[in-house]
Amino acid sequence: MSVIEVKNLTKDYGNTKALDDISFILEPNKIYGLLGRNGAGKTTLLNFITNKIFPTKGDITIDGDRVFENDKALNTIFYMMEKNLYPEDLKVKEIFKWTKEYYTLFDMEYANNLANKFELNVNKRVKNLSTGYTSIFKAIVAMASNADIIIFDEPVLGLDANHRNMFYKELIANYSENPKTIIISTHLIEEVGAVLEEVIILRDGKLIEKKSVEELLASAYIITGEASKVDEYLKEKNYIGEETIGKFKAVTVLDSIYDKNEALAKELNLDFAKVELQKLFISLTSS
Amino acid sequence: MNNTLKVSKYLFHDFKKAMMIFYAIIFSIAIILVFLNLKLVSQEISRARFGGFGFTVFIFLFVSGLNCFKTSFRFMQANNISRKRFYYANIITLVTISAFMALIDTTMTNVIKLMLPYNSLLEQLYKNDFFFSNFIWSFALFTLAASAGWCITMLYYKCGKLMKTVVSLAPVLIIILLAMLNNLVKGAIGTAIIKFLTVALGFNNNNPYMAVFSFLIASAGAFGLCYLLIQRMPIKE
Repeated sequence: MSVIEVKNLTKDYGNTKALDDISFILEPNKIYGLLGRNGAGKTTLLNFITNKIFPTKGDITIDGDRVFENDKALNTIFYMMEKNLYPEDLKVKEIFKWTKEYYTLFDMEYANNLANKFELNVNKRVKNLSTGYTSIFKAIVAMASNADIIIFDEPVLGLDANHRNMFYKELIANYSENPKTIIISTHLIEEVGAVLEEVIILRDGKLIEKKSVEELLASAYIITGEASKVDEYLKEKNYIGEETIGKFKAVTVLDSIYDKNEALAKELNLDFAKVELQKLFISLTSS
Repeated sequence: MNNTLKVSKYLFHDFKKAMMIFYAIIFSIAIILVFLNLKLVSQEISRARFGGFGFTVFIFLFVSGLNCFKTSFRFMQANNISRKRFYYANIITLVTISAFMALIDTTMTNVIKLMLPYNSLLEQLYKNDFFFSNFIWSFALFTLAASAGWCITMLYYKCGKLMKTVVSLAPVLIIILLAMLNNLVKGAIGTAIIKFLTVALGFNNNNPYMAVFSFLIASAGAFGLCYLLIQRMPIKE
């Protein structure tokens, strides 16, 4: 099952609040995107879930068991960290072997197949891998771990477009064959958007959204047209992003797509457009 | 195999190469010494006595203790192993390796003695050359070396720059302070320390088991400090 529950999580670093009273529940077998600008608290949150650091206040449980120093709960999670924690002198194939010791469901054959697909030389030592191949190697270990929960922190760091595409495809194939909870923290929202089912958006250590992608995209729309007419349409409406080009304007309206005032838009000669996840994210997280 | 033993398995693997190199050197030196001694004795040139392999093991384990934390801690964190489990696995590993090396050292002492005028550390200090007392004394001493090394490296890993400086200077400052106090009390502190060490190490009645007890108590103290240090240990570069 592996339900993750985060309760009132707070982390203070002196006077700075890295995370501020965050609470949410992650249901099993869904792909979540953890989004936020630099310093929003994404990695801090992931480090709490995986017992890497400890909160000032709050709790995290997996199926009711607290994660802190709890091997049973921790063994249900595989965390691909952005930084490399693997011994630099070990070969990739040796890391596969040792990972199987701790994640007994680790699929060696699948790991080797992925290594072949990505042209990763398993006889190379970790220290000799490029930034891109270090990410590929860590992502392969994560995908082959067969843990109930897999967390990726910046999984495509340093990967070229082809490898990024391959990674998303393999991830979807892996998930389809063996559903699990996947959390992806990334800045490449446009690319990952199609993979995600739900998003968790952080801003300045606070949780500002946790919704399904579908629901989130339906909660806003873009209105475009002549600036003065757009302003007229926006009266008494809640909106966030504003882009002006010449006398034209595009604005993200925070209103359900089902509540669009189509008659007024027609009268004012305005057009509607679907909001993109990345644009909505920028609007929601910009100060 | 439970997860603690699996972590130990990795730690043993980590030690294996260094131990193999160490013993390759030690055995080579021992063979050369035996060969040279046989040759010199046959020519009636030398009747020198040898000893001190135990001391090299002590140094080896202290240095190994110093080197066995950072890389393995980070690797175990990559595999989501709790600090608690990593801590117990380390104790199992360090104690087992100390016992193994004590056994090799004691056995080697007895073998070399058949060919060389060789004295173990125990024999030099206590005039005692029983196999069991040699083994148990070496084991306790080696455990102390490994635990002290491990403790020091964890202390340095956990400390910030300022605390590292404080920790580095503290022993020197304590020695200077004690020396000054010792002068003030006309050598009473020095006498008390020597008296304490004489009793703690069993020199007063040639009792190596008193030293075994003291070494094990000191090792337990070091492991206890390690337990406190590893709580909430962060991952550092």
